[in-house]
Amino acid sequence: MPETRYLKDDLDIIENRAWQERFWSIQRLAWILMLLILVSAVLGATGSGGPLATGHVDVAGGVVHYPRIARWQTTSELTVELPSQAQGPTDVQLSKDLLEVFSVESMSPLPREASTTPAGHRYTFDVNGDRRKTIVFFLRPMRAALPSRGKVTVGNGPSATLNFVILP
Amino acid sequence: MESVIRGAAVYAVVLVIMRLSGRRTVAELTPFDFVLLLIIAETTQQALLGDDFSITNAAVLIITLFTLDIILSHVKRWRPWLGRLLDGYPTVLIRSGKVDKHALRRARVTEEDILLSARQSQGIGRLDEIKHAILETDSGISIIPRKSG
Repeated sequence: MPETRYLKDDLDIIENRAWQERFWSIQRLAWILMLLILVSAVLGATGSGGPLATGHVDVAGGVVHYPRIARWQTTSELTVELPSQAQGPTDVQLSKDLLEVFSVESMSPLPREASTTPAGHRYTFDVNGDRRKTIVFFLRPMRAALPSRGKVTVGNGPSATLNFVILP
Repeated sequence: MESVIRGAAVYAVVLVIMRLSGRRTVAELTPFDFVLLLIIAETTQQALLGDDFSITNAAVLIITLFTLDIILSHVKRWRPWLGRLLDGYPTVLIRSGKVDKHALRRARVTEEDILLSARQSQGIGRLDEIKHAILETDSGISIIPRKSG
């Protein structure tokens, strides 16, 4: 697409209409791309709310809601819904690979005991009452991460695998 | 290191989006454009600084942005194609009195925009008094009037 110099009728200007036409077309494609990004953001593909941003996994009769798509240095919530029959001291363990990406800022309620194990961090909560009980961990991603995995274990049940992405 | 990466990433993102959104976005500032620029400035400020409000971070970011700007201006001189990619070409909207409707539509410029520029820069009130109108790479519209007499 060569440049042309228009030099007549009081005008001296370098043009490249073919290039400009192509750029206008690319611009229109970029607008469509921006619209798609907007729609995917509403759906949660960029984290911070939306159906795609939160993952759910069954664990020991309960459910863990976790940030499937999170943002670097933005606090996310990991909620453990315990089964209604859970009573007494209950352990929740966050795996080492999860803790390599997320820093635990706080949690609600506070655990009776927290300890470090070769597999990660173990928190022991006092669980009482008949109704559904939840434990919320406030996690802050410390670095961006491509599809990564971590594990959450509740009580003596099997570990649940969490698949997540941390966007920069 | 993080400050430099943040600065470079935000600079690149803003540059690409501004370029792809079309040059009309930064042309004459209407109240809407002004609000848009204010919001963009506020949003990028948070992405640039993160949680670090130290003077060191601010200084590193400012140096990063200025350095990128200087490097880019030199690269544009050494590699003219990059300059064309970033700045584009001027587009003739009215040539020898003939309005290029296609160019107007594609560049999202209206005849009202041309007349506004003609009134402001040349004191011209009518379209048929304009010989050439050019949408410049800096988003402004240059007006060359017909010679009177």
